[in-house]
Amino acid sequence: MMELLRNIFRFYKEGFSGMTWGRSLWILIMVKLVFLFLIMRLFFFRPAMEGLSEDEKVEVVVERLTAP
Amino acid sequence: MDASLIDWSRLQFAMTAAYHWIFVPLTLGLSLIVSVMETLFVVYKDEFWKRVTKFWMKIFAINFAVGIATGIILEFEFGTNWSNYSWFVGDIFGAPLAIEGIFAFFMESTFFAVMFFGWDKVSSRFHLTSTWLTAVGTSLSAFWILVANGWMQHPVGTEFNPDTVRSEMISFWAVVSNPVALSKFSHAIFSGWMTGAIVVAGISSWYLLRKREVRFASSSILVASIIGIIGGLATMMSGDKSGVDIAKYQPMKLAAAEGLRDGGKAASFSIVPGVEIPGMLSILATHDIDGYVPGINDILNGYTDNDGNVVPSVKEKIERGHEAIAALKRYRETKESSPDVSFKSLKSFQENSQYMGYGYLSSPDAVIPSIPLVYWSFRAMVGLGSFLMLLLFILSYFTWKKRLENLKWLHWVTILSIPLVYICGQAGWIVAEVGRQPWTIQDLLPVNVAVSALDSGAVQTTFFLFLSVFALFLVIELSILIKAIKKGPQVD
Repeated sequence: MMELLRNIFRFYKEGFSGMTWGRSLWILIMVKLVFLFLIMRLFFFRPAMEGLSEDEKVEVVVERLTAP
Repeated sequence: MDASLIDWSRLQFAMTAAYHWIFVPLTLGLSLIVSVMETLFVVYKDEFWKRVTKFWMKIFAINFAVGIATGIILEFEFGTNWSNYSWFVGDIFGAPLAIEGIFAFFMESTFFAVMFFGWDKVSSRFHLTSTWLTAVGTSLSAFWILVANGWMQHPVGTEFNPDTVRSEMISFWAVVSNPVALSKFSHAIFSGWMTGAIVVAGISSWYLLRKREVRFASSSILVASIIGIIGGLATMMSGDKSGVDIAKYQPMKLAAAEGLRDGGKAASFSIVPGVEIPGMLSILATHDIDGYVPGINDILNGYTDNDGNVVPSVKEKIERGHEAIAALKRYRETKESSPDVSFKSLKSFQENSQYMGYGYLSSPDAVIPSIPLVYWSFRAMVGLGSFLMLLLFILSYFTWKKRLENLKWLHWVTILSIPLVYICGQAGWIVAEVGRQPWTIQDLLPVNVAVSALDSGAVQTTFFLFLSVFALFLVIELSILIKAIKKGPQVD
């Protein structure tokens, strides 16, 4: 089992270190993920009902559904 | 609710979804084309096909890298801009999207890595299996997303719980086997094959135009055009099934797509305004030349469908929607204090709940989507799709006859068809999504209730921020792609 895991680890390690044109794609992916999760998600896309309990969320939605 | 907030929220979601759809169809199509090419390498043991496969895998990887995570933004928007909707659908969306995440992560990340890192490390058959499984994984991911989308178009297998005010799943199988989801899935997958085929043919034609990589380009075009023709024919068949589903479950979408004010039996299909094929719409919508197709006015005023069911007027649906909403309110207010009233209210709610969404509409006309946009988008989709099919047949014919190399006009037409296949796909989604307005969930939840109470200015800010960032990423992708294409496969 450990041997299998070691082989898998080596497979990925050699794969990543042997990359040529793929390196710039990975940089692009990382930049994008950082932008999405550390900037957009944290500062611009906070869930509208964040911090509310389940019951409070129900009340917010009920208010909207029953007072058109 | 502020109309500007609804419009900006819709526009933002539409932009994000449209951007996401730039990458998805090419991933779907190219993953299959690459799998077929690698199969040719393994079967014929010809190194030429290995190098062809490696080049298109590179294009696949660039598209995949820029497209990756663009779908996550849609999930951000669900929580931020569409929080009422997210709560309302929570359980139904949760299951398919969770399965999609698992498939996307495990299948794609595992086999994708073998595809790129495993050329000299695993056997050729194992590598080929990984390439095919990557293709299967991308299609399965699309399946679960379209199950979620199909449920919004035709909500089945669920029940609205007035205590938790959300739809709860009562039959996973009904949700998964939703006919609308299956039609959408097959239509999306097969049209993705066409997209992949046109992009491969277009890039290959550029090489032929420059008299470079001739064997590579001709061989790529042959494989791509065969896959594209199969995909195109299957797209037509799934489109036919989709038309029948829309006629049955979303008749207003069909009426808008046809600009059909007054329907009837043996309804005519509009090619462009003033040019019609008698009886054709009935055939497409019901597979019967005498089938009844309701027009916009019929839907507004009520009609009897082909199964003999009386469909109420929109005015009556609005009244029943008001009754459902009032009953829901009464039920919740009297749940603790007056069980009898509460029980009667619940019964009244259940009798009218199928029309609940209509109770939020300001007037019957609110059920009519933008007719010009849906009408012309449908024609763009069908017209471009037909043109691209013809092009694929012509390409395969001249490739087969070995006369493709010097047909400069055909090279140019094929190169210029690359943007057309994207316009075709986007037009299809405009028909599907604008055509179902005002509903986020058909008949149950219109956009004005689904949207979060945010400041419209904040939504505008994120819209323009996204627009700038998306444009930047697109420019980066195109520049990496162009660089890779200019360098070429160097296989001849």
